[in-house]
Amino acid sequence: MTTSTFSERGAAAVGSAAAAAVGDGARHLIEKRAAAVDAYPAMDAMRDRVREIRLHTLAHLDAYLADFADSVEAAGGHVFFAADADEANAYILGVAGEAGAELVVKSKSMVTEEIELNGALEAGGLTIVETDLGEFIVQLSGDRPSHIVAPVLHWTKEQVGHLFADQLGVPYADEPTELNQIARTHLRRIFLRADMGISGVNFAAASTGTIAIVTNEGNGRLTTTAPRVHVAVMGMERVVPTVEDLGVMLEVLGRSATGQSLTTYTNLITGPRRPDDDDGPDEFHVVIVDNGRTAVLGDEVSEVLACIRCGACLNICPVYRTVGGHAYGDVYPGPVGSVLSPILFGFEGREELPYACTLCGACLEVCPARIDLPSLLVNLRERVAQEGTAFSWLDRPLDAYEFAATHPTMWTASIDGASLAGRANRGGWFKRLPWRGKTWTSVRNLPAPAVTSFRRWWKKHHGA
Amino acid sequence: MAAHTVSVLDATEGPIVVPSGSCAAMMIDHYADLLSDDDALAAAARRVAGRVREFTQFVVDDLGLDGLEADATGPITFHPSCHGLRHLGLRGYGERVLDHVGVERRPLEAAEECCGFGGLFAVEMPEISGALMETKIGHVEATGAETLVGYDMSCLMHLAGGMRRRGTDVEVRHIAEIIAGEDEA
Ligand code: SF4
Repeated sequence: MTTSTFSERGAAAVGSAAAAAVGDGARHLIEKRAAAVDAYPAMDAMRDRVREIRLHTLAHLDAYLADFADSVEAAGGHVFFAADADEANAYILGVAGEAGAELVVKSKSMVTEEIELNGALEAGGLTIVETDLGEFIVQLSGDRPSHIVAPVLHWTKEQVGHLFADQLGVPYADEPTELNQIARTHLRRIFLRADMGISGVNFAAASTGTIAIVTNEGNGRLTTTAPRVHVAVMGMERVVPTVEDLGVMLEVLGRSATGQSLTTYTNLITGPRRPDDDDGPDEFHVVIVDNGRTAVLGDEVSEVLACIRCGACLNICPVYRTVGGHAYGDVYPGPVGSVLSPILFGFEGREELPYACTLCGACLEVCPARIDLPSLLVNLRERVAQEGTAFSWLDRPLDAYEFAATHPTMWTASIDGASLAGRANRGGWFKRLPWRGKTWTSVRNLPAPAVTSFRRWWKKHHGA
Repeated sequence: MAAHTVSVLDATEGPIVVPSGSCAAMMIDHYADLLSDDDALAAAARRVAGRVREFTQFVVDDLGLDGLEADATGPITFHPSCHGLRHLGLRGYGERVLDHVGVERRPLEAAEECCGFGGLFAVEMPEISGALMETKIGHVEATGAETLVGYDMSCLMHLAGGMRRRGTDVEVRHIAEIIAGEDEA
């Protein structure tokens, strides 16, 4: 977390090429979602079911996690509950050490971004290679993801072309299929040599110990089957009761995220390779990460843990589309990030995130789990307001406004005063207001108040 | 402030017509919560909430469209503000009123996108608010309409201010002005 505020980073991002690319990309994704939802009449009912299943699981999370752990172990896998990032990273490093692993391939996983796994493993002497195309670009360029589903939404294909030419020594290309092929060829060689694969988990079924990993590139399948050891890392809220429930999640995930009825690859994995299996890892570990989630379970905004990380709320959010993902300062941007980040990682330095929203309500209309993000943000605003840690310069003008607005004589007097100012401006516009008014007139004019107030007009025409 | 407004309104009768969706949504959805410390006030807030109608809601659901006339000549375009559209569920209301009175309504691209006002957001994050506003104004300009019509005073003031600054020659009017005609008194 940097020391700048969201509004400073956001203001700086407005109009930048990266923000514009995110805006275009997000618009495109949300249009595809709309088309997919139109073509799927069951969507509304499915969203109800998703919400029901997710909230039910959260209400009994300890029981379902215990079931899940039992099922994974029964299938021959290992389970580790990590209280925080350090515990998770240390465990994974330990597994790598015991397996004598040196080269690690990874498929896309937001929770490993959250716990900063790559840095920890590199510090432990391992070589990590991201195999999701977007994450590969992020790693190669030393950048950060700007979207939870599409990490390089802020990149143009031309930029990727130059990066590949510079870093991989290939001729410049900017056709997406060509770029894909370049990355694929480069990564294949690495897959064959990798000792360990680390993946995320989209959903986990408690009854069978099955994990689901969805991708559009097939890298998830290679990551989880080619190396000797597979470590799956999941936030502790990823669990659902059964494989059928997991199916319900998949019905809405692809549609909400990218407008696909199903992603290209859906991997369902239960335990390590069995004796009669042709391939698969010898060892299978699941790391279940708490990292602040247990505390959120008892919080008024616990509903946010129902999130299935589809990214639809980011894509539809006018603020996200205007400032891009990096302005939010954490791995989870957009409306869901503005709830998650302060509540998971602490309010300090994140006081403005709950205010990074016009409360337009668009995210609530698209969220597959019907999470009431605007209300959750308002809830967090109340906490920040109690601490007085964001926009406190607005307090005094607002107090003055409230005083005038609740005292009829004061109100009439202020309106008359404003009308006077209006008369001086001849019913025109203020272009530049002094002091606190300047943040309004920094981007727009303010209509000068009417020369005659409604109150006076009414008195004149209707008596009392 | 909510307490003051509720006390004043609770002493009146009949529908309370509010010319801004955001204000109506506040009174309907939040006043009772805000005043929950005081049982009598909370009860009054619920009574008031039951009587609050956003303007287009009042026109369509209570008054009926019959006999309404337009007071606009040139083409208009309509911005459905977020609170009316999503909080109050008034998707299509403004358009129905306008189409009924027979003004030429030009479709607005990305009409349902927020204009960037967002209450205090407009002064807390002016650059971001301004960027959203510019996008909206760009779409309004592209329609070639002479008038931008809306149903939320605060968004309209913000957009009108932005158009002034930008030199956009589009009039901004509340939907009530379009159907009722202005009192020239
Ligand atoms: S909050 Fe809802 S819309 Fe946003 S990422 Fe999560 S599931 Fe998707």
